[in-house]
Amino acid sequence: MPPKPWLEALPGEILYAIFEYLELPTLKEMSRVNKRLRDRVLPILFRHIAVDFSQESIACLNNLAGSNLYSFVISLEFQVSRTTEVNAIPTLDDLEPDYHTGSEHKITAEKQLDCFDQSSHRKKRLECEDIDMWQTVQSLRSFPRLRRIKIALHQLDETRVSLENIQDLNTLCQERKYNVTRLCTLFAGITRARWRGLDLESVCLSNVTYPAFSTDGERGGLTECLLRLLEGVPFLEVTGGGFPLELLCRRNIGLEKLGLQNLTVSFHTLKTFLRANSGSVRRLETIDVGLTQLPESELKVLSLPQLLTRD
Amino acid sequence: MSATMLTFESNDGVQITIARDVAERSVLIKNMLEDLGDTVEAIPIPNVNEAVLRKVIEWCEHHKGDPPSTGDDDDSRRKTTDIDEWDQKFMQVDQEMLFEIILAANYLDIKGLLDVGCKTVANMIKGKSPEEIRKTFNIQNDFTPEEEDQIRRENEWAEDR
Repeated sequence: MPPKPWLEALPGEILYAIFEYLELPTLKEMSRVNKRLRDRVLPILFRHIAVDFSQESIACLNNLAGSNLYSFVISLEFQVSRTTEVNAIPTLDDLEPDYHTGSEHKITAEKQLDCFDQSSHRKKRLECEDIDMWQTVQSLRSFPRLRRIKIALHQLDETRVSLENIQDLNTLCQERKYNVTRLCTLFAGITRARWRGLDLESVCLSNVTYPAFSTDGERGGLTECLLRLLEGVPFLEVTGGGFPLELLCRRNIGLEKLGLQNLTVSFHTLKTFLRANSGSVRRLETIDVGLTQLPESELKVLSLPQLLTRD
Repeated sequence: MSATMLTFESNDGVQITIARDVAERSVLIKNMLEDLGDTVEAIPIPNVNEAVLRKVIEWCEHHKGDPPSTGDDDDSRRKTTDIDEWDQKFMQVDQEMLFEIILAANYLDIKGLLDVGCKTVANMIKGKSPEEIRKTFNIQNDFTPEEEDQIRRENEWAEDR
């Protein structure tokens, strides 16, 4: 005699307890068994989702927002691939008109959106595709449980090569490694979503390396966009690469907690740096430090102060 | 002075007498005893039959010396499904009994036993395809082929942090 279908009959809280023991691949299989079990798995399965930050994935994100799944998402990851093609670089005024005149972000947000929509000049400078993305990313504000966004830049093979030789790194700095427009759009979209009610507790930056964030020239816009995205975010997680920590001190971003993993920065360097800039990070209370990637000798070569003084 | 032995009555009317410290593995019973004070009458357990109650008591006897669980070990998101040897043997029962034990542990609020039950089920699910899971637990597939397609697409977004 076949057993009774008791698994489905278990109360929801017990099923949750069982699913907490399952790994992601099994949870995915579980979600395909039947409707009732799928309903029970979804809140766990869709706690963290990842999308490519490309045209197709933006369509996915739109679909997601249109399905019943978006309400489960607590953490969302954008995977930004490297591209050789470079669009027009938007300035801050393109993405956030009135920024320099109004500090009351929340009040002027609506007005700014109107400005953006009405300005044909701005539309010309930004590809249509980027405007779509910018608007889609803003729709994240309607994800009720979303508290963490991860922005993961695809790790460059060249970065590894360059780490062995300072000259190579210098060359790398001269080149754009990502579609800067796309990144600006992403940052600005998230910023806008935050102004309109998205309550982020944590932002995670993965492989956001210094070469992509040189503060001079056209890329200055990118840095500005990132800084504004980070304003008021209590917890910043950084993994991979040599994140330009000095960005954190450019503006008082109110950081309370900093998590560092797999950085090419030694702990000593970090300590020295934070001590020297204690005024700008005065609300910072906790720092979680994970493993650094490189042995100490190489860390010396690539210590943060050296990166910071490089132009 | 509190009684050292207590009598319980299963929902099929069988009385079982056990030591108080064994019974207090159940948070429900423990709280009830605190509220009731001393009782000489048999305490009814309305949701549990004799066979299941005996099984649950067997587990409580074996684990009576365990430190009380703190209840908030939810920090590690992915928990291990390792089960100690005695518990593994204990859980070698038919599916219906496993189901009843889990429900009883939930009702009586015996966290340790509920955890072992959940782990046992998780281990039965692990590594199986949807079809194998359906077979194991006698579940009907109620998805249309179109829905299955959509699910496959949606599932692509789910990732580990």
